[in-house]
Amino acid sequence: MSAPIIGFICIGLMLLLIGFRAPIAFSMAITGFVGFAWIVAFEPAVSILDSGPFETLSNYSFSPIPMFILMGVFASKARMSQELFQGARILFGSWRGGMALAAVTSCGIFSAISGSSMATAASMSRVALPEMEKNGYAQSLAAGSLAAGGTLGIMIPPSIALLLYALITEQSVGQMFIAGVIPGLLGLVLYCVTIAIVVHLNPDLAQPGEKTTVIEKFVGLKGLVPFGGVFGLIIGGIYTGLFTPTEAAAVGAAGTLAMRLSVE
Amino acid sequence: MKTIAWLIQRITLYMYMLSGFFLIMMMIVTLASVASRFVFKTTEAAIDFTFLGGIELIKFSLLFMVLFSLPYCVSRSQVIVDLFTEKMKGSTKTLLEAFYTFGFSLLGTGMCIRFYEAIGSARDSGETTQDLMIPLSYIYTGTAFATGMLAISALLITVQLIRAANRGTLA
Repeated sequence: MSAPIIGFICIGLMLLLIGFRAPIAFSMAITGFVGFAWIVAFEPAVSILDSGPFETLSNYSFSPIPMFILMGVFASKARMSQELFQGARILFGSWRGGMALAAVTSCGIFSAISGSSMATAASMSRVALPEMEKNGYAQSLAAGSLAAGGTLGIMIPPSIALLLYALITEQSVGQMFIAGVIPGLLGLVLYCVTIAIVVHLNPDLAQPGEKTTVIEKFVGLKGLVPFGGVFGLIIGGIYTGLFTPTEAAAVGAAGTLAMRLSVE
Repeated sequence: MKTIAWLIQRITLYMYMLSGFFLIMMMIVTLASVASRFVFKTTEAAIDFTFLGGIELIKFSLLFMVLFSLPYCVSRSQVIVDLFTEKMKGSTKTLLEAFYTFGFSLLGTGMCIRFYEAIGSARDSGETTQDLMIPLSYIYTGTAFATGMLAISALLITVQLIRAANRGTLA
């Protein structure tokens, strides 16, 4: 049997295992092992059990990943997500569906220092979902806008997925991050347009918010300052060659830790 | 059995905390490296705090951070999709979970055996890391311990899940 056919069979096996409640990590590990043993031989597949984890986990190039996640955790603990959501909420003021728009916008901005879609969705859901439910938003709109907003984390830099892709394909991480900015922002704008259209067609889904003045909107923008600072430091640092991705992740994590400590 | 289970849970918890320490260490070592390089450049090499081995410290911290968190997280941090099993009985789901967790135990055992064998060959060859000259046998000992604990922890959870399934409860 040819290697591509074995590959297809193994992918099918993996999807089947995932469908039957197998943890995704386990499904991928077992499929990789079976596929390698089938194509090459059993003995080399067994020898991967030590060389594979050791080489991958002690690869310096992967070190920014946990530090970007750490940065997102510090940002969440520093209540930056609350400030961000409140700021965006004031910005959209009395618009019908303004909170859903604020939630998507907050997700997009939070992605800029989180790097992970799941971390973004989890952090923003904790803040925005109860507020939207309290203000009479339909659950479908509230949960849908947060789930959609969370996906922006995969595109808006520093994205862990883009970082991994750059490492695997041996591309420049800085250029890959910069390439994600426009599609990420486009996604953010289109999600907002979609929410506006949905709410316009079905006004029962969301209630209008409180009216806010221009000064209040301007003051509300201060919640964005820390995000802009950390984002600029990371992306600017990597793109200009001042930092490697690992160094940028460590500096970003230390910056958000300092914000977390300043909250206490 | 209860005492053994308690002891294993405590060890895995401490390993998990140690994993957090390794993560913070990665951050601190990287920051120290950036700061020392900055001072070196701005003082035109008059003050030199730059140090060798930063990259090795970071990469081995990454290795131990992941491996030391696995025994604690094996039952807590899995992503599961309930696609074909949504209508299954709770006890059947628990049994399935036990089966997959046992898979992690086998995986941990396989890795532990391979790392244990690597300790011997690294000791015989006297292989060390490039910058800090740390004997690789020490590093392999740490990885063998972590993967061994993964195997034991996953086995313990498997037994607990099977018991839960027999009682007819969803774990």
